[in-house]
Amino acid sequence: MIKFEDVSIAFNGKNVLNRISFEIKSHESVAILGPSGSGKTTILKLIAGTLKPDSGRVEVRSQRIGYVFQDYRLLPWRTALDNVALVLKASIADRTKVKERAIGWMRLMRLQGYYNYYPRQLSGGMVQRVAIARALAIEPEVLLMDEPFSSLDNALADMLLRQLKDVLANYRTTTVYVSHDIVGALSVAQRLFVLSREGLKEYPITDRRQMLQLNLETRLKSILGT
Amino acid sequence: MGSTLNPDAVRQKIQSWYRSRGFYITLSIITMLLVWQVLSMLFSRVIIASPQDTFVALGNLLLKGELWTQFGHSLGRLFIGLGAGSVLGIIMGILAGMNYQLRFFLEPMRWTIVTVPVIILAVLAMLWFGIGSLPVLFLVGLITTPIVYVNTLEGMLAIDSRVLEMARVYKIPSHLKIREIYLPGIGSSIMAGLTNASGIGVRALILAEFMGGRNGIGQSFFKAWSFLDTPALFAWILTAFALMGLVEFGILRPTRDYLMRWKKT
Repeated sequence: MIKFEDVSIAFNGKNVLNRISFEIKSHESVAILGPSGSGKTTILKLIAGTLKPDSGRVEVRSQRIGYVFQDYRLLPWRTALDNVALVLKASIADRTKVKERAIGWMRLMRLQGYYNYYPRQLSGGMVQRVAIARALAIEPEVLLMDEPFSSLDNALADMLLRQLKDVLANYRTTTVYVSHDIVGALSVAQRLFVLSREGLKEYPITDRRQMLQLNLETRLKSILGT
Repeated sequence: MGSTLNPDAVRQKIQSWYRSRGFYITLSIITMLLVWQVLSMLFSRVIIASPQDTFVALGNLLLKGELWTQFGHSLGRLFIGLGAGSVLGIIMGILAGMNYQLRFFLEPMRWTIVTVPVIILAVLAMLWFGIGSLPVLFLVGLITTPIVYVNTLEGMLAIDSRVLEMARVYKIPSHLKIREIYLPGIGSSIMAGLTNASGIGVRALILAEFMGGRNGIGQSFFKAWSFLDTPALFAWILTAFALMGLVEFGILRPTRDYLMRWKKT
């Protein structure tokens, strides 16, 4: 579904990605961990097609891509519901279904009662959930998530994570999740990559519980430098 | 003594009034009226009509219905001229904001129109369109288009590129992008442009009516001037203020408040 071959990209003369290669198959759920500035967001933008690589090849076989941006990017002049409805208007022909479906996704994100609030009237965590609802609303084949739970408290993040896993499994969505939160990444992902100065490296997930207990966290933390 | 009024509360009330906007606006209007009164006492009635004579003349014009008729003519022309100029300016501003080649192409034209003195454009308008409504509409439209255009363009260029990236990822089609992102995003810039354009538009309107109109506030002003009817002349000046006030406070500000309601909590 997604294939990177020797992809390199630089900004202002500074190499951000250097000959990165990996492949993500359809319906896989992948986490990419890495310290900030390592190029995680750049990988998502290359997949989304808003960036082109300087060299190498990016192949994405998908028409519908949902993207939960790190900075959410809701339209401040539209209500929460209208923000979700906007992407639906672009993707489905039947206008009468737009509102109903937008409400459905917002309810799933526990946002009932906040449909007519403007983004600035909502808390950071709520805005983040609206952004997730928007990404899910188009029923994406590929879902890109950039630190999607950074503004949520742990209990809510756990709950949404579980819900999200069910939704993604139901729709068989290919997911790329970028984060520096190891626990969250491990609970969503089937595969785990770590992006560092040395490049992109896959860590096999054998037994999640064991990995956490064996202090993989500390090992990863030393790699990530956090 | 024995008053139920608390002196502290009274002082506080006076102080808050003293600090408020209304106080200074009232003070400014009273000052202008006083200066006007003093000047009218210093100079002959033909040169400066006193506030009293002016308000009497205004009352007469109101009673005769003359004021409403001419006010209506001017208001209608302002709407059509400013409306056409604004629509044209907004459309070109949006297109130029999305296409930099068009922006460079339009820039010399904008510069030319803005740089030529209004009086020259007014003379040309009369030369081309004769006397009546047409040269007035042409001038108002021509003057206001580049002002609205520049403000719209500035708003377009200030739109958050991250929001546009979001629109690209979600494949939002152009017509939705214009309606949902560009128009609301440039709303405050357009309103600033319209406020600016309506001020300049009213001046151009009065000038054009003065020179080549068959009626309207500008033409009535011309007639009062020809007959040396100074109180009426001053009354028409006040009418021009009323026209401007109606457009700004009656239409533009409420529209801006409505469009910008998402900024309020």
